[in-house]
Amino acid sequence: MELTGSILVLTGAFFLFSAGLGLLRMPDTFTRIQAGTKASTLGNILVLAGLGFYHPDWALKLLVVAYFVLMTNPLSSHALSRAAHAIRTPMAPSTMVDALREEGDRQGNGDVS
Amino acid sequence: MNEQAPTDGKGIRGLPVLWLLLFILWLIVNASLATPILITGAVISFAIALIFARRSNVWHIAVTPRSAWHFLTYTSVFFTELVKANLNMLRYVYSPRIDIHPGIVRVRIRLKSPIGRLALSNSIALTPGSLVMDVRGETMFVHWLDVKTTDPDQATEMIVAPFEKHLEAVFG
Amino acid sequence: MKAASSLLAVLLFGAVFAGIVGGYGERESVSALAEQYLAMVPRELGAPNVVTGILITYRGFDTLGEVAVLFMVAAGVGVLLGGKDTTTASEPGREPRRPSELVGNGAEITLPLIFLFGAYVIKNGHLSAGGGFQGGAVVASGTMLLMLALPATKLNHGFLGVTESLAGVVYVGIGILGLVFAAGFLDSHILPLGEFGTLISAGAIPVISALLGVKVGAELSVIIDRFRN
Repeated sequence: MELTGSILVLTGAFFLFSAGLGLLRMPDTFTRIQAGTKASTLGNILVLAGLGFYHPDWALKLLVVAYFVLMTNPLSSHALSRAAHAIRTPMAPSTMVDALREEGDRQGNGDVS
Repeated sequence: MNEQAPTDGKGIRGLPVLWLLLFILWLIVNASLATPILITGAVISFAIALIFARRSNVWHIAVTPRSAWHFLTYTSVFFTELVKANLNMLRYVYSPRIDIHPGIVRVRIRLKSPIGRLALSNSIALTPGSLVMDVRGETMFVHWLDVKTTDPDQATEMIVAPFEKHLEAVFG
Repeated sequence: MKAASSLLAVLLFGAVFAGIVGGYGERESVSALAEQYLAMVPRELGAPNVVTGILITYRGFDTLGEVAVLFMVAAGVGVLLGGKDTTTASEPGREPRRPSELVGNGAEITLPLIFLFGAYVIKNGHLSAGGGFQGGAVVASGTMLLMLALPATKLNHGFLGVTESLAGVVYVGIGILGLVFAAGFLDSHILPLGEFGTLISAGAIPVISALLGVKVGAELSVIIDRFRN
C-alpha cells in the first residue's frame, strides 16, 4: 500500500520535473505554457493519488482537490496565453499559422478587441 | 436548456443542482455526519447557492442517468488523453532537438451551454499539444503544438470531436 | 561562462539549503508558558485549537484592536481612493479588452466553492487550524477573483458596510455580555462549553470567530474594490 503510494508520488514528481524542464526548453511563450500545463496537471494528480494510498481516509477530500486542479489549471493557462497573445508576445520562428491574429486584423483593429 | 441569454438574473433553476453539490462538498470537507454539521451545512450551502444560482446560468444542468453515464465515459476518455498528452510532451521535452511547428488554428464547436464549453476547453488544454487561446461565438482558436492541418473542419475532427460527443450529451 | 556561474549559484544554494535541512530537528519539549497554555485552553475553554482559544479569549481585547486597525485601514483607503465613481474605461482610443468568456464561466463555477471553503475555515476556527481572520481572507480572495474575471460586477458597498458594522457591534456586545455574565470583557463562558471537539462547543468562541470572519471578509472585499477604481 505505502509502496504503491510512494511510486505514484515519485512518478508525479518526475512529471512535475518534466514540466519545469519543458518551461526551459520550449521555444516561445505559448509552447512553454503548454508544456507547463499538461505535465504539472498530471504530476499534481499523481501526487494526490499517491497521498490517497497513504491516507485512505483522505480519499474524498483529495478527489475534490484533484477536480479543483483539473478545473483551474487549464483555465489559468488559457487566461495567461490569451493575455500574452493580446499584447503581441512574439511567437517562435517555426510558427506556421496564426488564425487568431488574422481574425483580429480582419476585424480592423490590431488589438484583440 | 441551452438558451445563451447572458445572466438574466432571475433564473434560479440551477439552485437545486448547486445546493446539492455544495452540500456534498461540505460533508466531504467536514468528514462527519453529526447533526450540527448537517444543519449548518444545509444553511450555508443554501445561502451560497441562492446567491450564485441567480447570478449566472452556468448551473442550468439537468442530471439524468444518461448524462451521468456519458460523464463517466467522458472522464475515461479524458484521462486516457491526458496520459497520452503527457507522454507526448515528455517526448518533446527530452528529445535532443525540439522539432515542432506551432500555430493557432480555428475549430468549430457546437456546444452551447457555458459549463459545457468550459469543460471542452479544459479538456482541449490538457490533451496532446493543444491549448485554447480564445472563444468567439462558435469559433474556438486553438494553439497547436504541431500543426497538422489548417483546415477548420479537419482540425475540428482531430481536436474537438473525441470530447464533444460526450459533453454534448452531458451538458447540451 | 554564464553556465558555469549559474551552476555555481545552484551549488551554493544547494549547500545552504542542505545545511538548513540537515540542521533541522523537532523540538523535544515546549517552554513552560506554552505547556501552561496547552493544558489550560482545552480544560478551561473547551477548544482543541489552542491558538484560537488564546486569540479570542485570553487576548480578546488585543484581537478587537486588530480588527479596529483593519477597519481604520478600510476607512483610510475609502477616503483616499473613494469618491470618484467614474468608470476608468472612458479613455478615448483605449477600449478595455473583452473579458474572456471561459474565465468568467470558470469563475462562476469556482466562486461558490471558494466561499464554501471560506465558511468552512471560519466555522472550524475552534476545532482545527483556521478561524475568522483566515476564513475572511479566503472569502476576500474569492471577491478578488470575482473582480478580475468578471470586471462588470459591482459590489454593493452599502450592504457590505452594514454587514461589517453589524458584526462589529455584535462582537463588542458579546464582549459586554461577558463583562456582565462571566468573568470579564470578551469572556467566552457566557455560553455552555458543550462537548469537547464538536461544532457547537467552546462557549462563545465559534460565535466570535464567525463574526470576525464576516467582518474581515467584508472589510478586505471593500479594500480590494476601492483599489479597482
